[in-house]
Amino acid sequence: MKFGLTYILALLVAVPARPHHAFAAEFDINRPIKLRGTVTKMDWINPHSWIHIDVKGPDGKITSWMIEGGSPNVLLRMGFTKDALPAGAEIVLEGFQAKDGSNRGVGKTLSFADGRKLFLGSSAPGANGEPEGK
Amino acid sequence: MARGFFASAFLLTAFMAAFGQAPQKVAPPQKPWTLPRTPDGHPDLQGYWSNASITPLQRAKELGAKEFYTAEEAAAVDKKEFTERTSWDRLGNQATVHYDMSQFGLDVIQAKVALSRRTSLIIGPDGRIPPMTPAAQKRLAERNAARRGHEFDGYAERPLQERCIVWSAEGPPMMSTGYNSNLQIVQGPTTVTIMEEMIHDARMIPTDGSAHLPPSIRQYLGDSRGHWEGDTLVVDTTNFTDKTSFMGSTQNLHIVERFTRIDEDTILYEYTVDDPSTWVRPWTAQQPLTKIAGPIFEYACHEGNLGLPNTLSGARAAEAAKAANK
Repeated sequence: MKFGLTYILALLVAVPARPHHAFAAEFDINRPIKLRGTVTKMDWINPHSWIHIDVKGPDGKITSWMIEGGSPNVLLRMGFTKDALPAGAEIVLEGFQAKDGSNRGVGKTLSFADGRKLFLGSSAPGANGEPEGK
Repeated sequence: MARGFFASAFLLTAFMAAFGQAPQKVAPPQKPWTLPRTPDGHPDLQGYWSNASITPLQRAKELGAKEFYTAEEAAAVDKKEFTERTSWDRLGNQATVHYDMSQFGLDVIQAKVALSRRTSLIIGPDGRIPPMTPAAQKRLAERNAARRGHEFDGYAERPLQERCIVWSAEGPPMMSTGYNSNLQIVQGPTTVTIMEEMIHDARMIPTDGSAHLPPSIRQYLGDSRGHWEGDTLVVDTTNFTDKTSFMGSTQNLHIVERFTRIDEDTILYEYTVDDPSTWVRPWTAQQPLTKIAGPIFEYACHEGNLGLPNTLSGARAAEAAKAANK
């Protein structure tokens, strides 16, 4: 399984050509977010998976975030399993916040804290293979 | 890489030519493909299939009446399409050679795409959807005008796809759904069922000679009835509803689909779209379905559809912000 890790990291990117919904209606491209936190759980639900993370602020206060990812069907076919992103994993996530300002967002990129890159198959520009700005 | 049904047609032609001309040197023995049949004698279409495609529905205007690429042109076009759709080049500085998704196929979900030398799925010299009737143009313009500014008023204004009711491309006619473009066909003596992964609908198609439902009964996916013409399954669908619209169509939409298994790995899928209240003439498209390993997975869309409330709450927040700035 030497190849396994690289493979699985690549697999997180679903790259749907036609997301279930319009990115711009749900998320705000003018509110980019970068979060470093600990995975509490991952919802394997259609039409989109959701990753729950706890983010510790400068004051030590914990804030919970939900980040949208790709369809579980896609993730599973590409080899991403329930064990690939376990609770407790420390991750760094970039994406865009929900338009309503809540602690929800859509994932564009995801990496483990040690720098290994992950991608999210989501509706975010840059995450779904669509050129930025289109 | 398999070239879908064209490769098969070519091999078949070569095979027949080899037989017909009785060559001096005997070619290596090849086992000819035999069309598998169900116990009742009809072609066996059962199994898992993908309709992922990189062929556009409509032909690029600059190609004019050119219906097919040459093999060389097709190879170049396919390469370009796969690269554009699957490479990480477009993901900017995160791209690395390890993430070349061309290995995974069209939508980076499945490795298998039935390739075609067609320049467009729509067949014929035009290769494009015919013009809309003046009445249809007026109807659509009025509908769009009425919707403008009200797209986010409530859940009922959101597209059926976003509401997890029907997927816009699931058909009939069945078109590539973008991702999870997978379907399963199951045949019984009096019914053929097509299960599409997106959005998890099973279309039951009676093949017992029964008539369509009465016109008063309208359904999202219409009412499909099938019959066999030789080795081709022909499915006739009417009774659509005005709650759906296929590319601007009305409930008068009439779809005729033809399924012909042309080799072990390919069903040739052809559909003719007719709605006299929308287009000036019917139009026909053709695309191969390619065999995949399966299975297809449940796509319980409504189960976790957080996107819909997020979208509406985003619209409410935007309205509140706008009101506060006044």
